Amino acid sequence: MPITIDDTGQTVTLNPPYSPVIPDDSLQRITQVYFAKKTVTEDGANVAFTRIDSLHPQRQGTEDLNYDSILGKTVYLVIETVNMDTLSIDAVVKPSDNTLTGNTETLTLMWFNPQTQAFEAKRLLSAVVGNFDALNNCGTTDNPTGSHAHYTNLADHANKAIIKLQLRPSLRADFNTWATNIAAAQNGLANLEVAVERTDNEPCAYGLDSTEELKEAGVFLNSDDLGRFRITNRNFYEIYARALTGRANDRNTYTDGTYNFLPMNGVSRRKISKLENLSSSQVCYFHYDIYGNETLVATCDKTNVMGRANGTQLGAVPRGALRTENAPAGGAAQTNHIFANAIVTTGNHRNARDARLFPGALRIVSYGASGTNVPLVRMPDTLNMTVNGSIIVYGFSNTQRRFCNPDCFAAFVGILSQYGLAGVLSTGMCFGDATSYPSVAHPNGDSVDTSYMANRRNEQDLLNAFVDWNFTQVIAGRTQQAWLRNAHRYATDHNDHLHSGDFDGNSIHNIYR
Amino acid sequence: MKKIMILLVLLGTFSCSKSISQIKDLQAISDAPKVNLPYGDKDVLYNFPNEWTTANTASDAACNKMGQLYEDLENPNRKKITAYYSEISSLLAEEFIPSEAVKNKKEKLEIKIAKVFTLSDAEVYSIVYQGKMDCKNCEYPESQIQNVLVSIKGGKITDKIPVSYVNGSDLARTTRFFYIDENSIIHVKDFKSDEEGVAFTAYSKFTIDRDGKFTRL
Repeated sequence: MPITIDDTGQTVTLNPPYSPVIPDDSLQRITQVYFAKKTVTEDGANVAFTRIDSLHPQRQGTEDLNYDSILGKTVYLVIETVNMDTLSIDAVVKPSDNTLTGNTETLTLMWFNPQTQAFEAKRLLSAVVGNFDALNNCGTTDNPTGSHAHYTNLADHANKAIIKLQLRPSLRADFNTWATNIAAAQNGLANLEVAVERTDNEPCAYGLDSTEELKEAGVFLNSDDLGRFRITNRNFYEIYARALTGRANDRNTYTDGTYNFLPMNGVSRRKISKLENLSSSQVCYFHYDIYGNETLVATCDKTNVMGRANGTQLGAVPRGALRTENAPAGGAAQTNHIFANAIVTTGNHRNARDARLFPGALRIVSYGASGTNVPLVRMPDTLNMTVNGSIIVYGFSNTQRRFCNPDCFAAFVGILSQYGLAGVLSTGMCFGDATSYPSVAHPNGDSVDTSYMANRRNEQDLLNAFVDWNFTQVIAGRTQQAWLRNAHRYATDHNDHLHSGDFDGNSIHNIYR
Repeated sequence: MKKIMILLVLLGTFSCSKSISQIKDLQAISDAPKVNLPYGDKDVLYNFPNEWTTANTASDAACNKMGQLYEDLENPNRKKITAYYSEISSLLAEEFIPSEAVKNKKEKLEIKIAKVFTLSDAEVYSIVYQGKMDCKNCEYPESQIQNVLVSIKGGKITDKIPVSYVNGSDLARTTRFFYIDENSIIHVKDFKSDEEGVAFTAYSKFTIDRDGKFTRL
């Protein structure tokens, strides 16, 4: 049955008679409607759109993802037309079935208003063919609405109406409901489709092959053959790269990417946003280069475990353990003895014979429960990718302590992006149970430790990046590293590794805060 | 008689008095630049408690201020000599533990030299160097940085004393720092530290006689 879109953005089924119009040579047609990612090349001069739907699956590494976007993510809705220059088009996004909301009513989503450069709740989305305000960069004091004039190939897109939106409702409670519903679906997915029509309600044709103009809305992304738009649940972080502008006083200088729209944090713009999804145990980390190109850096498993106090060395494992477990292989930890309020770890780290505590003994550390759960993500064993000519690379030294606070890992990705060179080696964070044997001082994965690099400029640049990305307790050593500048503290217990801790979680823009 | 011969050989082997001319390529040691007194970390004279935690206490701050060892290691004006361990081992502290690579001549050691005292009959040099320590199961690498005062008289090493060092890893280490005051008294303090705290273990003072012999006060 034909449908149309009413003034409120609801779709309405039309009753017969509805009047097909016989097309003439200037058939007005909406050929394709799809969700897309922006792809910018030629040093920011060339913009294109990459479709994201079941016929154009996203990839992580060499594998196709089984979803096209994530609840809450920012996407572009692209409406391609023929003979419709400067015409306004209405669009609504609806669930394809009852999975998301329990019905198929039109969704109210967060529309990017180019004038205010902010997202606002809207049901009826409208865009004008050939208007590119949705592509505006971040505004300045002189030009608060930003600009898209830097794109030199906009003529290639003159037939498109473009809408930028976030796939989420305005209220956190509604978001939680939608997320719960998606989680309950057998495949963990909810499909969205799009209905479009001319704002002036005049007829037009729909699809690539249609030959008649219809005075009704056309529906897209509503079949397996034409593609479906599948959204899923994930926690996610959006990490915005900074542009290198020069070097002054032996320190690189940076400016924010022109497509970082995050709110200010004092005098500097925030560089990371996040959306916490209580129905997902996975976290996606997205990197945006200075032109706004999106790269999925990693998807990590997330857990919440009992936090741990700093460890205490013991002379022997106390009696009465509830059970024992093998510690992850590959590091110094060997066995975890589980007690009601502590984990006691034994391993093959032998204290020096002149150690302050338990000299010459194999180290035994008790990590008491802090009483508060902490979130952890399992970091990838390695990252090695190139984004816009800059590489994001790290590996681990001889450690299996590869769990980290999710916020810290987001910042670490940003730091690697800013640093942009190979050679970063982490000496580990914590285990999946938040303990950190043989270290007594690194529980809960709330710091990032890295080996020092031989190249002094590189090490200084890396330290600066940790400071720039809001680690507020960077501790450098006092031996080979005495020349390092800008650390918050220098101490002899950091002669072999740079400690970056006390990440300021408030520096992250929480989308629903 | 045979036993006496063996004993004499052993005594010769362990003798501290080794001719400097026997140490290959070290003739240039006498050209090393001189440091002025007082030399070292004056914070050594701070009245340290027996133990403290690594929180930002005054003691910890004082301890962390003692950086002369690292400044010496970084000082570009010091005379640098690179040699195999076997060629310069007599100039190093007895506490130095060479790695297998250093012992087996796969790597050389770099020592950095400055003259500290010019006595009537001897000269005293500061020798600074660093080296990695082999450790099979260490997640945190172990290393050592040492500063040894070496007395040389008539081309022979007559005495030596490690006045400053950091031995161990970021998990646990032993450290020593020194201060030589205007009266040429050498103040030396020893510490043991780990991630949780620091123990102040010893305070020693030494004088040096005209022959370059160090005497504990």
